[in-house]
Amino acid sequence: MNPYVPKPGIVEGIRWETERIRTFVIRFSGWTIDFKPGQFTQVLVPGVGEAPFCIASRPSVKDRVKITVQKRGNVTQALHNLKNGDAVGLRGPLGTGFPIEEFKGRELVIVGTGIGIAALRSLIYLAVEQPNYFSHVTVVYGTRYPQDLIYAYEYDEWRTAVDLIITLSRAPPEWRGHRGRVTEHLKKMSFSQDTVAAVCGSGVVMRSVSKLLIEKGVKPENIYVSLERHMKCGIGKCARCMISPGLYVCKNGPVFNLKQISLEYIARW
Amino acid sequence: MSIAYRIPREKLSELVEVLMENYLVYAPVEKAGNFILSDVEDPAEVTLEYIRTINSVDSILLPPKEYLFKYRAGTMSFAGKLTAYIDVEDYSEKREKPLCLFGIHPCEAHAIKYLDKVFSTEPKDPYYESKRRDMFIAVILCDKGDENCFCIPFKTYIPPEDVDLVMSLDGDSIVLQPFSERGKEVVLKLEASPTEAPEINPPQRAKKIDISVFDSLTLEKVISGDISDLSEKCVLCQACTAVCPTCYCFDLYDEPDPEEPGAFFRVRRRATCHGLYYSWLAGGEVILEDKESRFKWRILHKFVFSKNMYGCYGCIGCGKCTAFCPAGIDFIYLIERLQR
Repeated sequence: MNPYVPKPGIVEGIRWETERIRTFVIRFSGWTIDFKPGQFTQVLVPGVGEAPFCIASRPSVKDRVKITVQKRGNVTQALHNLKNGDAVGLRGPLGTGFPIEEFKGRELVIVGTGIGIAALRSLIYLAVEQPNYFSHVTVVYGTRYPQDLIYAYEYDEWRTAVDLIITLSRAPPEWRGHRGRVTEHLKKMSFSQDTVAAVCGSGVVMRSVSKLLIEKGVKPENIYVSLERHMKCGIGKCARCMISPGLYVCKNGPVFNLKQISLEYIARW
Repeated sequence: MSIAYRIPREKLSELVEVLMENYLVYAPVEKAGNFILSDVEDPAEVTLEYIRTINSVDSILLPPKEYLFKYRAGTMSFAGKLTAYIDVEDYSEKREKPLCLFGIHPCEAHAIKYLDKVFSTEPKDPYYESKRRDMFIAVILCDKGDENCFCIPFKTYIPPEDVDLVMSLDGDSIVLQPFSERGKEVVLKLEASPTEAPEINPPQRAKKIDISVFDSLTLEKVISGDISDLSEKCVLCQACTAVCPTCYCFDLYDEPDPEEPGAFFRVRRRATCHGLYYSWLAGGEVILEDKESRFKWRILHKFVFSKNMYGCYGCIGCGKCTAFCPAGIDFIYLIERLQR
């Protein structure tokens, strides 16, 4: 089988999350997937090209996929122009994902900022679908403004399985929820030696969150970050996503623990 | 196999002709004062006397621009339900004859071994595989080299064992040493007289440096080193990565088929870490922002990352990056500076 050739899918649902972010449901035409939270897919807009997106669906769903897309470049722009019933191509699942077998029965803290929460949604839904999978789950999710929050329509469902802390770094006066950066809330929490963490956000955020978690006693090998790089092939050939000390984000990642990569290389070369 | 055969130099074109019967032969030919590895039309134009070709084996295995497949995507009604399709015309299997790389230096044969580690490991790259499958490799031993060559520390002047034929020039004759059954079959088609296998010596003019120069490169050393005065001279022409036999980074993009509206090609184009676009992320962040970081990245990829990923160095010491740099940036000097 040629790993460069995409398989067909059809846009089945589009949800406006924010002004620049939409969530797409893509139903596969004649195939299914089995993926782990944290894995990604290369989505093709016919004629425009491919871009990598984390699979944001529930892990139990096999016949379609959910991706959340921020309008940034030409592929994401083209995705935003799609309508229900349009054809797309998909390759994947690609990458390794979170080692969820190792997470079983442990305390999990999920930290996401901005659209980074999309890479963690699948993990959150593992907790929702299997409430006893982890011993306890806390989700700390931060954005700047209330209008940046995505998946707002499902927080009640998340709360059935996880402790959800939503915090805004530039909250307006009328905001009644938490304020400040995610790190300010993590500072108040305590973790055990056995705690595992899943972190996704900008490079700077992942670095500061990871640093804080280590200070609070979480072991580096238990801190998992989901990285973003300029992935083209998605199968460890094109070398565009390589990171120190010699790992392909697409093939060896995009999820890495901080024993595999060191803190300082999260956001730089 | 230590048996070798001797043919007069005039019979070189005959040897090429024999190979052309069964292979699509690429060999060094002289064009506009330069030697290039090119598909051979006339066996008489093939030469074995050259220091280095401008292009490398990777430009044949991974062409600068390659059409991977053509596709057409759309939706149709199937059993009363809308379903999507992608019709693909795959170009990975379109080759009629296997390829032959004839007259490449042993270092470039080692470059193929390195590329194999990237492209022939799971998931295999079908486009690379189709070119690599049944490939006949005939190397010419390199006796002279020049001051830019640094194959000695890597021992890449010694041909890898899995080539088919090793050739060397000896006065008026060419000594042919088959390394494989296929190689032997080709030689036996010529009127060749048995002789002794040639001795393999390092090229006379190659730099005599020690492997410790590369072994001692670490991530920390490369990152903290200061080579900004050298990288400042870079004119961003990207020649170093274009001529490098082991550079393999690429870009994938789609291009419309002008002859079939609605159909698109998936195109692979070689990419270079010396370009700004190379590490441009979706948010506009560029990981390799300045020229110095790009030089360091190339050195890290070749020495530190390759060692971690593939257990070997991604450099074969051919010296092309130095020889073809219009700004005169010496790769070995860069590395020596990072040692300090």
